[in-house]
Amino acid sequence: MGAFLRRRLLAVIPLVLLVTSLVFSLVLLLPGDPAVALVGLENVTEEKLAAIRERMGLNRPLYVQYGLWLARAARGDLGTSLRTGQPVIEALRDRLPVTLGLAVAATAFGLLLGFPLAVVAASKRGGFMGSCASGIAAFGVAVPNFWLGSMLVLALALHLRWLPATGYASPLEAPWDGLRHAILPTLTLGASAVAEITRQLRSALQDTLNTDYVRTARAKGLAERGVIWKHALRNALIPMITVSGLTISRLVGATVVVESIFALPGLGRLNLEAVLTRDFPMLQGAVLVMVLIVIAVNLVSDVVYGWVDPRIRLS
Amino acid sequence: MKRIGVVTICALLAAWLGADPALAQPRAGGVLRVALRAEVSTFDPHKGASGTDHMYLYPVFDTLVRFDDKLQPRPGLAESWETPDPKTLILRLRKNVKFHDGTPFNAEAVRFNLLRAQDKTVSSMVSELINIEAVEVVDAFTVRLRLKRPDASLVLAFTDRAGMMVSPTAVQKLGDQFGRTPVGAGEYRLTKWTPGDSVRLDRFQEYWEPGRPYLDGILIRIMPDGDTRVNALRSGQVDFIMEIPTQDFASLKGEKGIKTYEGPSLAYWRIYLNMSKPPLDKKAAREAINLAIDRAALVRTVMFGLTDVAVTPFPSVYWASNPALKPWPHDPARAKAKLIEAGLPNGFTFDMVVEPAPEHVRRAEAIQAQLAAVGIKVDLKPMELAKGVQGYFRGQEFMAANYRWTGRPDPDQSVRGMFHSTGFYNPGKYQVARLEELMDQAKSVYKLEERRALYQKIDEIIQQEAVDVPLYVAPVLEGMATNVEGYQPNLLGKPAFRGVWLRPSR
Repeated sequence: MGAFLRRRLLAVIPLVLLVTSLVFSLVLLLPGDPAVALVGLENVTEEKLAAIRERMGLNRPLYVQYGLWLARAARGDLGTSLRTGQPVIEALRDRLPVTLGLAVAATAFGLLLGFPLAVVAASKRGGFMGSCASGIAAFGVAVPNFWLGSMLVLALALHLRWLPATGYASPLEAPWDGLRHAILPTLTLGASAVAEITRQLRSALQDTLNTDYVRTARAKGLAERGVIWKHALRNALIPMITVSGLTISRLVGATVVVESIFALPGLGRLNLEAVLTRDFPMLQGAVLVMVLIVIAVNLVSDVVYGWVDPRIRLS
Repeated sequence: MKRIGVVTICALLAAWLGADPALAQPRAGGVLRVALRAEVSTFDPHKGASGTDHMYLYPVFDTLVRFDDKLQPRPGLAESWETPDPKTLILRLRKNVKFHDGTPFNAEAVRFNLLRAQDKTVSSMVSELINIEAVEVVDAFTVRLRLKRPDASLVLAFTDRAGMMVSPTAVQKLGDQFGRTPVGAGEYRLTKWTPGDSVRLDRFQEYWEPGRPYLDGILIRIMPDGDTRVNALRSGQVDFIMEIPTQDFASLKGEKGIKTYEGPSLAYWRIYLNMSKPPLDKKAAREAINLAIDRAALVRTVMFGLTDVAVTPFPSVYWASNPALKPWPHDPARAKAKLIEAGLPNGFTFDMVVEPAPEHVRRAEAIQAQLAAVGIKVDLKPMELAKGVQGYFRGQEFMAANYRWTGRPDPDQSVRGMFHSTGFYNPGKYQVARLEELMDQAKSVYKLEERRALYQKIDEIIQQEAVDVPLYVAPVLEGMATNVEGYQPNLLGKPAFRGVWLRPSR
């Protein structure tokens, strides 16, 4: 297990380097000059631009800029926002909990609901309940976040007035308020997680139900419930570790939309604002953090997978 | 007996007036919750360049001059001003005014502010104050500005960033941090800024105007998405929103507990033409474009009828606009005749940059179809704004651009920017000598009536020379809870919450 873990961790380093260099250069490829964005187009003079480029290091070769950025990033300094002057790291620290909380809550919701749905869909295949469960899964995959979010707001916030339509409250500072504010975004973001988990677990479960050992269990006269819960589910669960990891990664990306709909001060919106205002240091920082989250989640799910299924460790 | 009758009637009248909520006395207290599209970039009024900052800056920084609903100058921190000769502007300042940190406001403070706003290393508004040669302190509450050349646009420039007064002691103490912890002399102080989420402003207890402000505070929440702002207002989470998406406005208008405001702004949609390039250097070709466009149809289809067609660079209610001018008629036959006159019987082709968002492309495609009907082919270039703006204005890579002109407080700032050969928004530096003479003349007279006459003449020549392709006025669309009282919209479309108070319930 130790060797496996070491191997996995070492593999992350080149990945992080590759990703950060990509993030860095992609951001610089964005159209629009950050120096121009900073002074305002009308006030632009060549000398002003030159001074800003000098100050921001934009006139140096790309690899030098990247090297300097990486060296500073390694020390935890991601620069300051071009727009507001706020240290990037401070903005990320403020906004990370919002996005992570949302992604984790949505995944938890997905597991909580996806799990029973998958069992129903797999075991009652062809029946009414099974079709319903499969239908819900298909709906969750097909429906776009922004549409679902708007519908939920319309029904639960504007019509019934049960929940707030927008905004964020920290669950640590105001638990009740935080919870109320979290429900709609979690449902919106979690819908696709429910669908994904249901579909994956259903097919894994169906595969397992067709294996020889399940047939043996059935032949021994075990009740169907025992077959599913005791024998089939356990094996079908292993791929769910990967699926959960992938789901979290995907949800982190989807927060861009959900955070906009509900006006949540998270990383997704930070990203969007940084793109629109050409706030390159902020954008580099925000993208970097989102990528690191995805890498970390994948690493954790790999390690857990290896721990649960020893065959993986050997490969 | 007679007297008693009069008293009774007066009392009844007073009771009746008191019962009418529209005429009720302002009530103190309460926090106004506002949702805005964009976050403030910096609270340092001299440093920022973003047009969306003003809603945050107005409450914190009092200005030397204020504007009324027609954008005419009114006393602010300067109680009055005079121009003994065209190259001197004397400001007489209000006494007993303090900044939030207790620093007194006086002539020295004004001098400090104006020098800072002129400092190239700090300020983003150097060009507005370029004609100020010296700022002299005459006495504690009198400032004399010596000008390089007459500049009537200064007074209205002082209603904007250039007139926002910052505390000199705070600037010296805080340095670069001032933009995050501002100190002004406005009605409210910044008490909490949660970047990306909200800004909290609290009542400044020692504000100079007795009884003002009415509110205990203003909470501004940042909501970039238009539908989100509408939802927040509908659900009662905020009391005031601006920039309502046009498609939502009609449904919001009739809703219980909500009142809406729709009005013109100084901003308008236009086609920017690079008139140094053939065939747009020919007046007849530009006239053909103007005649081929059906502006009323654009207003109906693109703007849901929520605005008026644009005639001059200014909306009809603005003091500098020319009410005698008629909008360009939609006359395809005359447009074709103009093309022949320009020596282009088969029409011509030009490329036009437009923002890639659906509403913008929709408008540009409508224009494209209208122009095609007379034989003018438009090659649309949907392009991300920063790239398009840079390519068109600085790079001169395109013949035309379909963008909005965002209004400026003084008409000189608008017409000079777009139509003077030195203007940034005139990329080909096309020159109409008559127009430039009038602009310089208008800048050198200070009486509003005289200025008005000159700008009306300027409006007329802009239309005669067809140097503008105005489309429609950008409307101000705002919504608020019915208990929000005393709100005064302005032509800049940038709400200042001065005078706003809240009735206890919706």
